[in-house]
Amino acid sequence: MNFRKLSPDDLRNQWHTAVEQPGKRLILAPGCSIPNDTADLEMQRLLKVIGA
Amino acid sequence: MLTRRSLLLSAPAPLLAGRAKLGPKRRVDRALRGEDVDRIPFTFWHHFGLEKSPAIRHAQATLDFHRKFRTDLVKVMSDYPYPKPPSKWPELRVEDNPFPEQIQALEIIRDGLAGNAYFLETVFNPWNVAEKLSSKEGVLRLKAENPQALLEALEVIAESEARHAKKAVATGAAGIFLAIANAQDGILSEADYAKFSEPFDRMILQAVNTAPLNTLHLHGDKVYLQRFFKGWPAAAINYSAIRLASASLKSAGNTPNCFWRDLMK
Repeated sequence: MNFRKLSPDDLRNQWHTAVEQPGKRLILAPGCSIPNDTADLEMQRLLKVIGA
Repeated sequence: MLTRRSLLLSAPAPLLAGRAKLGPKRRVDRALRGEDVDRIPFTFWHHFGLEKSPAIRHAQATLDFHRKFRTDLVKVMSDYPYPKPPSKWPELRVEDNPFPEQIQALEIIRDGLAGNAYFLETVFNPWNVAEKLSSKEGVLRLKAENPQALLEALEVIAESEARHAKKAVATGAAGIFLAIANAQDGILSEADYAKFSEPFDRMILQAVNTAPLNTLHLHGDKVYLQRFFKGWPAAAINYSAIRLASASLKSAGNTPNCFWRDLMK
């Protein structure tokens, strides 16, 4: 995982920036497009987890 | 001007019990305002590989995907290629309608959604388009050998894409999803991003600055994130929280992430 290359301070700063700032202002989304070979079943599992 | 701001994150929010079920638009609106929601709104997307197909197929694939997975927000992929240069790269001319097939697809998607969900048009930033017209190496070479020529080409692409963005919003898109993959260490230095990309990225967003849901997609794990927090006409930022922050999420005692790939393991 690339995050392992970051220092703990970098990670902490990014985490604070990313999550504490928006509070409830979140929309769940991938960081980029999902792979085209993703199975429907995998997608449905995600929907179940978030209660959609 | 930044009036509403939130982050599109790969991270969870507490779910609220006992609330009436919200529709996709209200769910997104409330999340953007930081208000309670019945559940966290979500979206995802992928490349359908239909860039050589007519608009109707692309639109239908997008609508089918949205209906099948009940996404709260329809992020429309845009894989139709930018027109080839009339002579040779980097000699370009401004295109009034660089992606006509995509505009048609947006109209079909708008009609198919019938106002039930927001849709966003994907715009790959001018640097990315330049790479597709030339190559990654070709763009970097031009930057080194003739930076002015590159700047001029990027400005032409930005103007063309700004026109496209306006057309997209005119179809009813709630905004553009501006994909920026070069604002990160390892691709461009921050100074080079500021000189060779940011002005053109801003040109496109500025063209649709009144759209309510413009989103900055910051691709990568070494993004110059702080650069994007203020002064952009965008309501949201999308980036990979797991790549940037999952270790800290764990140490903070929260669920590590909701990055969908990991949930599916």
